[in-house]
Amino acid sequence: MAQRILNPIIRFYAELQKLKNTLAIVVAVAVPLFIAFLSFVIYLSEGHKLIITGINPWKEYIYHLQKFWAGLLLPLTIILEASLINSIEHSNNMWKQIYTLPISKSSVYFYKLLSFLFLNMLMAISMTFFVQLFGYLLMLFKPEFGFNAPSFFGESLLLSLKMMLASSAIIGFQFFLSFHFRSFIIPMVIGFCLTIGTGIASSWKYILFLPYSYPSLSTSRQDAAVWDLYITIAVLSLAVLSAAGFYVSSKREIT
Amino acid sequence: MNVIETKALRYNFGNKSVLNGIDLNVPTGSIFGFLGPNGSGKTTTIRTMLGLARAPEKSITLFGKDIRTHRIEILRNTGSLIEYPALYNHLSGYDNLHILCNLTSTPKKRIEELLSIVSLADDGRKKMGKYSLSMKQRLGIAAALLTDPDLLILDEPTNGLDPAGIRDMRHLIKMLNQEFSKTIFISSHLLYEVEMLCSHLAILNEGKLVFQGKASELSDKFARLLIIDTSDNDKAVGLIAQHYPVQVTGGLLEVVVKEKNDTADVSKILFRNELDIYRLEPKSQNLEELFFNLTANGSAHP
Repeated sequence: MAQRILNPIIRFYAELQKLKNTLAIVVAVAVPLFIAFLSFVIYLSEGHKLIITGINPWKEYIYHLQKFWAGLLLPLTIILEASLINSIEHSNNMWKQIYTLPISKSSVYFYKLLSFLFLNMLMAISMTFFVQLFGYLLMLFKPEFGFNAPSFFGESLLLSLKMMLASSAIIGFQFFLSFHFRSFIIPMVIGFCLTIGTGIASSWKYILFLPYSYPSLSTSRQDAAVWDLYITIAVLSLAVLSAAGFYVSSKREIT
Repeated sequence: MNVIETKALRYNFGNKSVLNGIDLNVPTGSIFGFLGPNGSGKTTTIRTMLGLARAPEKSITLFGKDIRTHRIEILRNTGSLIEYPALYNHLSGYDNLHILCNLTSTPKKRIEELLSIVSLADDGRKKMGKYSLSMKQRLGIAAALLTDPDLLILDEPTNGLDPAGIRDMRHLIKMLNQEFSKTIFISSHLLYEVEMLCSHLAILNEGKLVFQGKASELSDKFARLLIIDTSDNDKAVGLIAQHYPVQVTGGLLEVVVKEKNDTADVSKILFRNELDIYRLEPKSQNLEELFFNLTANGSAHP
């Protein structure tokens, strides 16, 4: 019984072991670090224009990155991560090894997807951590900004997780593409075109039909509900795409 | 009892037929050589056996079970190495085996055992990038042995190895068969390699089996060449030509014989006619010649 519970955990751990010494982990931490640092520098030099005297600056500071991160960099990082995580198998020609192991073919997709979700979670947590860290540094460097007020840690984490959930459709689609295509470039180009296309169409009245816009649309208003229609559609899309992925994996032939 | 059986195995790539009704029988405990030129369908046969390529139902059984319906059960008892070893190059040998252990719920202690069997105990912590091809091949075999399977399927395991690597691999394969009682199915396009290793063999040509049986039967069953040098080769040609096809190549006689007794018969002919024999030996045939003989004899053998 204990073994039956342990086996899935060990299999998930095996997927994480594959990430050792790869760029996938580095990107998941370094990109949020870079973005949070950029925001820190902007606040250092131009903070006086962004701060409203007498109001807790944390909330504005937390949302300062939202448009830039959710609309462009988050989708692009997901696209890159999806290609990186699957290229570990493609570039080492590992599929033939994996599909000759005594494990079900569809579970190959499931555990790989799970490790990809873990990377996205890591990215969300890293973003929260670095935003908080640089906020506290602002308290040291610019005490006049008032960062000694409560830091909205919970809200900051919620925002990051909300962006991740709203990205579920992107996560599902990019993972599916990268799993299927041996080429690193094809899923990247498709994802890049969809992200840029969505950016260009941001004021289009039918933008709702472009899931690549959901991270941005879902978090653009500070008073928006935690769970909204965008997140519902995105999560459902992930479920449907995952089901398609399990099926494709179960029928996969390595010739 | 047979570990692997295929019945009229067929496989197509689009409209192109790659396997045309193969009936293989691999006995338990054998080292079974699967011989054929590049492109003859060896790797495709192996991929269908391992469930990597879809074969018709009931056309492949391993351990008496259909690969289509008992894939996981069969793979639990089957290790494989297909062409070049597939390993994570950014990790160490130990890490690679550890990942496979975790994927297959195999105890971690098996890693040290396996590294020792394949003579990599001192190199386990090195990154794969620092491994030679021979070391990678051996680690690939260790990966195949992870679940302690009864059957090993190795596709061209000596591909790209230097002579020392080939010798080590041969030694390892023999040891696994003799000391660990593994049945080993090994594909190759090199006849001499298979002859040196295998107790049984099958020969595949253009998706069809042209021979299957014990290795010793191959030389007995099909025409072979004798190389002969005597004190008077012109006279010897005349004498032998009355009984066997003969030709002179590079000053030496090449005589086509079919059975073991024919060699004795040829030597008697020369001896009775007072010719001194300087050399009388079977010429090892390359695969091409062997195929020619097999197909020329119409010997497709299910």
